[in-house]
Parts: sequence; structure tokens; C-alpha cells
Amino acid sequence: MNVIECNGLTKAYFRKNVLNGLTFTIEENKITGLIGRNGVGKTTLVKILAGLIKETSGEVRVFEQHPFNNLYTSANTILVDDQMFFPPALQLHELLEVAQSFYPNWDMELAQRLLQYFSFDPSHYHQTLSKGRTSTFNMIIGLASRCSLTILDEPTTGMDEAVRKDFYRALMKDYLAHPRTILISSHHLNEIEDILEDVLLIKNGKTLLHESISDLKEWAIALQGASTVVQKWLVERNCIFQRQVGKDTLYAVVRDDFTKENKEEALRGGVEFIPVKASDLCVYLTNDTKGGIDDVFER
Amino acid sequence: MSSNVSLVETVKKQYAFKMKAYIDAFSSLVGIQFIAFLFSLGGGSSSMGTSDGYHFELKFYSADLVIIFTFIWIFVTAITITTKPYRNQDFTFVTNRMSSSLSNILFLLSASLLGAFTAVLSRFLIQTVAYFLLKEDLYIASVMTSEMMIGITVSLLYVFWISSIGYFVGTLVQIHKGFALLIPVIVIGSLFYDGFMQRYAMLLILFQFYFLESSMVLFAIKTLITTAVLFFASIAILNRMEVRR
Amino acid sequence: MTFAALIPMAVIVALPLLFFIVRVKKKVTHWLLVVYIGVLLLSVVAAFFIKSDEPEITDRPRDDLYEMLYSGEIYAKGSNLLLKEDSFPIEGEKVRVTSSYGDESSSVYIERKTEDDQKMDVLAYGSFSIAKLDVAEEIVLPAVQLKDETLTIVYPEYQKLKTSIVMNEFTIEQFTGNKKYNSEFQIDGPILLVRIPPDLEIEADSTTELISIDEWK
Repeated sequence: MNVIECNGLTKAYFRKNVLNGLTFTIEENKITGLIGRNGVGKTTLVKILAGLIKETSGEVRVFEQHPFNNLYTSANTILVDDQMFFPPALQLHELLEVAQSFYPNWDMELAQRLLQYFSFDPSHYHQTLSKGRTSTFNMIIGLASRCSLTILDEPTTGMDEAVRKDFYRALMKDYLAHPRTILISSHHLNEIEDILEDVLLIKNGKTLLHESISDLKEWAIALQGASTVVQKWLVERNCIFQRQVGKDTLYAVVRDDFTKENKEEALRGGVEFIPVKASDLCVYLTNDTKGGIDDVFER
Repeated sequence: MSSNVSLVETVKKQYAFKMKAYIDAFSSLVGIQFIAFLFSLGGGSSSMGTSDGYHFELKFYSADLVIIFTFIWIFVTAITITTKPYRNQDFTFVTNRMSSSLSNILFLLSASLLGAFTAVLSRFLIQTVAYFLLKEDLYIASVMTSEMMIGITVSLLYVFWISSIGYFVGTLVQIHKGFALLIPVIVIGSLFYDGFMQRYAMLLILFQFYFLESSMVLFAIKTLITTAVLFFASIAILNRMEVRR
Repeated sequence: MTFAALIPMAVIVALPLLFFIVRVKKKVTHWLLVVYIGVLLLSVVAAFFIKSDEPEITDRPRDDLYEMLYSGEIYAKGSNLLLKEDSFPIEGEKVRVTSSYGDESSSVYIERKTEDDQKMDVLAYGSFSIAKLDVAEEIVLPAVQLKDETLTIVYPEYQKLKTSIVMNEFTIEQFTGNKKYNSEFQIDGPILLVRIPPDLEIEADSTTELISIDEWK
């Protein structure tokens, strides 16, 4: 079953398209990373999926229903971000009780153990928490609610390294025990790479790439060698990224569609093939220029 | 894994949630009624003296001011719960716009009930303090239990009616911030304009439609219909509103 | 309101309140509410121990004191403004009038009776009300005494009268149609009318002015 289906999804704010004909589907019980640079519409997309805002055009289905103003999708979806608003009059432990009353799959024991582990004072108030602590608390709500669709929008904002690691570990463990569809949005794949199954790469409000993480690792390859030789191999290929290494050596990333013969020929010409890390690939793909920041300095 | 939820069930949960989350509204009710109570004890006396040695003084006690303050309180409360932080916290948990509005209305009804009840009862506090602490000799207008019930019911109708006005005004402001300026300008402007034209203020005529109605049944019909219309309009407007948090 | 009527009301309030106390984790606001409602309910009970009068508003038309007086027939017509009547037997042929009114002269109205009944009647008329409440009973009237052919009028000290009215709320009055109070005061009088036999000689010292009403008739 597809939990999320988007077809030509468009969202415009003041006539400017933030999402521009986005099309993708996400299957049940998969952990998908929603990757893109800041401001490409990740947050807009997750808000549409959570039913907070309405698409301008195109089709969106969550649990085969239209999410905007939909009680069913609201009950089965939770959107965790650093702007989750909690009533200032309630203490943390009361917030857990409120969440319990709303979410049918809520695991109070887990919530309380996490609260204790991250040493929260249950009698504190949400708005007194620091940014990182807010993210941590929101994440506890997100995990314990066990919603069939759990959306985490930049969940680790402000968290320190140790908490970040704990958080992803907790997410992984809880996912294994209680599989559900999880969508994590982040602007860098790096830290979430290990727990993802799929990656959905967004650029300019469109789907750039939707691959499994293992495919993504083999999706591209880097060629490194003498500039002239490498340039020859780049002809008729779409170069994703290139960088001058040393005086006459070029590093270029292209889609890995080389045949075995191609590779042997290239190797003979002194070209080295280097695998590209998925996180690097995502950075290259989402860059607007082929050379990255170097382009700014080279004319 | 996925769970079905009904609207009624969700509204119930949200109502329970709001009774806890909006608890500050109740503290301010007590505070505001207490201030009105102090004003009621202090103010409202007039006197007359004559040269041949007489000085008469008259003081009125009633809970009228407490009721008026309760009107203001519910008006502000109703506007407050339409504002962004309050709407957004609904969407932290399970809701849609309909259940959010319905639970708001239920909350306002409960608040109105509490407000009306305490406001009318405060009359006894005023008269007790005036008699036992201020040692005043009192003439007390008789009130029968049935009249007391009328007092509470009518106050409730008024307070709930005003809450619907506040909710509607708050909703308009949510569509466009300009209404926050426009509505006071229209209200005050119409008063000034009517004053300038030296005629009876339209707004007063509008209010007299309710305040001068002497038939209990007609009054109930008038306020309840107005309340329902305003709440319906608010729900319809809010139902299309996006949540931008 | 009767005491028994309190019971259903108390139940109506107490039930949700009890629910509140038992079910909800208490916060300052809860306590505040509980205490506030508790105080209100106590005051309802306390209100039963307040001794008070119910304000009786007489809408029957009251005579206009001065109109009656100047018609010269205030006694003949009989007025609802009569507050006090004293009668003294007359021994001599002559009566002197004096009053305690200091330098200013006080006015005393004189009416001669048609028959000689050997008596002098002193009548006090006045109209006193606050917010349509008749407060004449609480007014201390001038004390009058006839002794050794001298009628002495002792006016009371400065009088202060305070009235407090607990009104029903407008949400009640709107439908019960009860009369609204206003802040009207009425202080007319008191005036003294002295009725004397036809040929009694009467005179006053500098403190008092005698005005005969007979020619007004």
C-alpha cells in the first residue's frame, strides 16, 4: 500500500511556486529521507502531507485520502518540527497525558522513560525549554505517538551531537519494534544516511531523485585523472560536479552508466574511478552549478 | 495500524484538552470579577443636601457591573482563542478545522456558564460584605429562586451571545489583520457619525433589539439565533484557513 | 428566596465542583476557582442572615406639599403628608411662639379654627423620599411643647440619612418588569401648622415668623 502519493503537486505563495509539480509515492513502513537545500519546499511539502496547508494544484493522497482538513489523516499522522506549539499552561507531563488522549497508539511508558533518560523535569513548561531541548521533547512526542505516518522535519535542530546520536538510535529501535512509515526531512543526508531506506531528493520544488539508499550509493561515479582525458569521457555525459584537483587533474562526477568495456578503456587512459558517497552526491545534485562554491571564485 | 476516529470523539477530546490548556482564562475571570466586585462596593452613590439641615445619601448595590465585566472578559477570551498560537496548538494534536471550532464553542459555552453563574451569585457577596463589613442598612429588592434562575439563564444567554461576537471578530481578524483596525473604526466611527448627525446611534438601536426585549422567549430566540449564525459564519471561514506555524 | 430553595442550587453547583476537585489535578487556578465559588456560596447562605427591609415603592401619587399648603386647605382636605399631630389644652388668652432656630426665623403656619375647643393643634407635614422610598418615618421632627403660655419649637440637629438599596441585576429586571430605581431625592418640609381657636391671641419672638393661611382660602 502506498501511504503517500503525490502527483504534480504544486503550492504557490503569492504567485511564486514553492512546490512545482512534485510527483512521488512512498510505500508503507519505509523510512524515507526528504533531502534538499533549505528553502526548496521540504517544509511546505510536509505541511501539506500533515494537512496543515492546502495544495494549489495537483493531487496529494495520504492513506488514500486528501489530507487537508481530514480527521483520519490527522489522527494517523504526526508532524514533528521545532515549531510545534504546545499550550503554555501545561507542564511537560501533562502534555504527555494530552498526547495520550489523542493518539490511539500512544506508548506512555516509552514516553516517560525517554523523558527520564534525557533528564527532563516533568513539571517544567514547554516554552521554557532551550532550542535543543525543545527538539528533543518534540521528538519524544513524535516517537511515543507511534503514528502510522511519522514526519520529522529537521528534527535535530539545536540538539548536541550526543543527543542526536541517541535520537537516531531510539528512532531505529522503535521503528524495528513497531514498523511505520517515517519521513525525515533534512538538508544534509550525512547524519541520517545509516537509518534510511529511501532518499527523496528535491530541487526547485520538483522530485530530482527517488532511490533506495543502496542504489544511490552506486548511482554516480567520480572520474579522476588528467584533465584532457577526463574531459573526453565527459563528452555527451551530464557532468554533475567537477573540480580541479592539483594542477592538471580533474575530478568529475557523472551518472554511472559506464559499461565494463568503457571502464577498462578509461582505466587504461589513466582515469581513476572513485565511488561517490551518497551524502556528497546529494550535495552535488542539489547545487545549482557544476563546480559548487569554486565557481564563485573562478571566472 | 491506522486508526479511525470520529468527529464527536475528537471534539470531546479537544474539549477536555482545552478545559485544561485554557485554564488561564478562568484565573482572569476570578480576577476581573473581583475588580468589578470592588468597584460595585465603592461606587454608585449620590447625595443631596438642603440648607435647613438635611443630607440624604443614596447608594445602589448590584452585580450589574460584575456582569458587564464578565461580558468584556468573554469577549476578550473568545478573540484570544481564535489567534494563531491557540489555533496552532490544536494542530499539534489530532484535529481538523471543524473539531477545532466545535471544541472552541463548547469551551466558550462552559466558560459562559461559569461566568454567568458566578456573576449573578456575586450579588450575594456584595450584599453580605456591605451588610456585615461595611455595616450598612440595606433595602434589598426581593428575589425569588425562579427570578434567580432567570437571572442566571439570561446572563448565560448574554455571555454566550457576546462570546460568539468575539469569536466572529477574532475570525475576521485571522482572515486579514486589517479587520483589527477596521472593526473599531467602524464601531467608534458610527457612534461619532450618528452623534454628529444628531440622531440616535445605530449601534444603540442594534443593542436595544436585545436589551429592551421584555419577553423571555423572544429574547432567547433572538440571542440564540444570532449566536448560532455568528458561530456558523466563523466555522465556515475557519474551515478554509491554512495553519502556518 | 427561601432557605429550601438553596438546596437544589447548591446541588447544581456542588456536583461539577466535586468532579473538579476529585478528577482534575489541582493547580493554583483550580484552587482559586474552588475558593471563589465557595465564598460565593457562603455569601448566599450569609445573605439569609441579613436583616433588611424590602424596599416598598409607593407609586400612589403623593400630595404636593406646598400646593396643598398654599391652597389654605391642607387640613380641611386631609393629606397623606401628615407626619405628626400634637394637641395642647389652652389655659390663658394668649400664646407666645419661640423656636430654637437661632438667628434665622423659622416659619410657622397659623390657621384659625371655626369653633373654640380650647385646644391648640400642632401638625407637622412633610414629604421625604429617597429613590421613591418613603423615608419620612426616619426623619426626626421638631419637638413642640406648650408650657406657661409659650409654644416652644425645638428643631432637631443636622440630619443625615443614608439609604442603600440592593437592586436586582438588569438580567432579571429586563423580564420581571420591576420598577427601576432612580436617584431622586425629595426633601419637602417639615412644615408646622398650628391650629388655634378663633380668638386666641398669638405672637412670636424674633426667632419665628407666623404666617396665617386663612386669607389664602
